[in-house]
This record gives sequence, structure tokens and C-alpha cells, in this order.
Amino acid sequence: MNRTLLYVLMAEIWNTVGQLLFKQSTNALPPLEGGGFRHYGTFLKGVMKRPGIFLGLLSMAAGLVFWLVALSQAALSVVFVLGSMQYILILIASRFFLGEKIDGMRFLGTVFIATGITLVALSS
Amino acid sequence: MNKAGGLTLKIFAMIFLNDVIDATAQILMKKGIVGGHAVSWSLHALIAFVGQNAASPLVLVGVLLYAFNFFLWIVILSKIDLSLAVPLGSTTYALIPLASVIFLHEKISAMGIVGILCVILGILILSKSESSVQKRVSAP
Repeated sequence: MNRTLLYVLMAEIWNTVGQLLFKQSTNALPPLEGGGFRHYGTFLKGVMKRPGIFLGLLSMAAGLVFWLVALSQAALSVVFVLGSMQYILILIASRFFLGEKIDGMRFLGTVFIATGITLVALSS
Repeated sequence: MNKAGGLTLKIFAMIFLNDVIDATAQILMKKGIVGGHAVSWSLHALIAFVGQNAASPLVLVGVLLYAFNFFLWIVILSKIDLSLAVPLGSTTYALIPLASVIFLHEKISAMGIVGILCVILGILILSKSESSVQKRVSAP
């Protein structure tokens, strides 16, 4: 169980790092305004040139490896319940690394979603 | 500086689409994978498993959907805070059990239903969360 916890935590940390890198990459570009496929194409081309996207994908891949190792060691539901720590990590990381404002609603909504997912995982 | 704003219906629709595609891809891949036994952890077995399934049209469509979803996620992140996008992106975990009940005829317990309702309530609360960034003033 302790080992599973360690692997899940590693998976979550790598996932969070990946998401931070993705978000930093999109933040570095001018915001995507208006519609149309041309806009999206130009935006995506610009964003794909940023090293953060590549590094983010690598982080996600590392997270996936730890996740699969965790899954091979424990029941899916256990891993999922431990996995809901991800939301807290994302909240903290968004606050400190991206400067996002975490108000009461955001905290409460996140807790509800994490709780709901835990219940769904435990019920299966 | 963060350039993303709060949750709008359009962004929520994109996140929801992202979730639906994710759930669809997972169901397609589960249906497309041949050989009902679990993969063992040797590299040889893993390569054999991939070789066995890479040609399956259902698996291929699943992989393509995942690639599309990655680009969609990048677009979503360009429009909204990460701390909103990630929990909202997890509606998948309520959606996949729901899809499994409907399409794969799996059973769901009362606890599962409560969990799904909790997730939906969480989404509603998050939609009330203030944007961390001032709204851009649009020209009249």
C-alpha cells in the first residue's frame, strides 16, 4: 500500500508538472481570439513550437509509466481514490506557479468533483 | 501573466467535448483490443500486444481521437485557468461509468449515482468561481 501511494504520488507530480508546462506554453502566447479554423491553426502552430509542450508531453509520459506501475500493484479503485490528490496538487501549483487566484468557489467545486470521482471509483 | 478568463458556456462545451471524445476513445479501444488476457510486463509481450492491436480500426480511431483531444486541450488551456480546466476535465470519470451503463450494459450502484451527482454539483459550483484575470473589454 505504501509503495502504491508512492507510485501514485509520483504519477500525480509528473502529471501536474506536465499540465503546468502546457499552461505556461499557452500563457506565453497572445490569447486566442475569435473563431475560425485558420485562427486555431496559427495558434496551434505557434504553441507547438514552444519547448514547454514537448517537455510537458515527456512529463505526462513519465506520469503514465508511474500510473501503470501503480495499477499493476493495486486495485483500480484504490489507485483512483489515491489519485484524487491530483486536484489538490493542481490547485496549489496553479496558485504558486501560475499566479491563479483560488477563491472559495474554486476550492469547494474542486472538492465536490474529487469526492464524486472517489465515490464513483469506490462503487465500481 | 495569465491571459485566461473564467468559465463560459463555449469553454465548458469544449471541455465537455474533450471528455466525450476521451470516453469514446476509451470505449473504442476497449472494444477493439483482441485477446482477453492482461498484458504481462515483459517488453517482448508488450511489443507483441501492440503489434496484435495496432491494425485494429477501432484502436486506430481511438488513437486519432486522443491526438485530436490533445490539441483541443491546448486550446482550452489558452482560454481558461488551469485550476478550472483540470477539475472540469474530470467529468470524464462520471461520464465513463455513465457511458458504460448505456453502451456496455454495465451495472451502477447507488454510491456511483451519488458520485456522479457530486461531480455535476462540483461543475455548477466551479462555474461560479471568479476569474483570476480581469475580463478583456470587448469593443461595442
